[in-house]
Amino acid sequence: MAAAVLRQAARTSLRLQQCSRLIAASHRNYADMAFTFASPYDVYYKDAKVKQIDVPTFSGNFGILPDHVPTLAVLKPGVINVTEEDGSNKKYFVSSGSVTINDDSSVQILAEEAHPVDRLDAASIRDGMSKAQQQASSAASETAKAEAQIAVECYEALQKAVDA
Amino acid sequence: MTAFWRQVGLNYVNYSSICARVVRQVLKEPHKAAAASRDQSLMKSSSWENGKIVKTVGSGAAAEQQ
Repeated sequence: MAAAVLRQAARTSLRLQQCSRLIAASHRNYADMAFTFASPYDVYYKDAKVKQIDVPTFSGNFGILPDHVPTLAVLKPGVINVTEEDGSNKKYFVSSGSVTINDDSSVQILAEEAHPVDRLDAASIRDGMSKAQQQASSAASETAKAEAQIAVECYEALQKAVDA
Repeated sequence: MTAFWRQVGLNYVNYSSICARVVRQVLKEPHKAAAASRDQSLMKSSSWENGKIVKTVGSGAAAEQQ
């Protein structure tokens, strides 16, 4: 009789343990997104907690929220918009690089050149754009033409970033 | 739908270095000066023949502008 009661007690406590483990597992950091964003020379965010990140990639422009599907993408020249915890928006222009979204919601953006948008000079962009367009039309080889066209596309993205 | 630059034999690394060079050139001072030091030749390779250098190839902005 006592043995039966003891066995019941043991089973109940085991159930309780299993339940609490399940609850702990389901509270797996829903609002956490460890965000790391850096270029070889500047680290802007390191395992930071942010609300949303908008990225320009070759697979399209998309916004990253916590629990985004794991993704690997490559950056296009454009603006990365970070919506921080307090709701403020910070904009950075990136030349190129990669985006990695992991299963645990951590996001890493590694850019070759990344600068806050206020570091861009509008006059230089206009000058550079017209020079690049000239080079594109007067290019000798296919390769040189493609290189000039890449530069033109980059200037267009820069122009958009400063105009906004 | 291959990118136009891939069709002529460039890869993403080439693409990235061209875009990076463009961005470095449109920065405001003093950031532009700091970035200029990054624009320099990273690698230089020379081919030899009969104990003499025949051809030198550098990478970085200098090479791209040739």
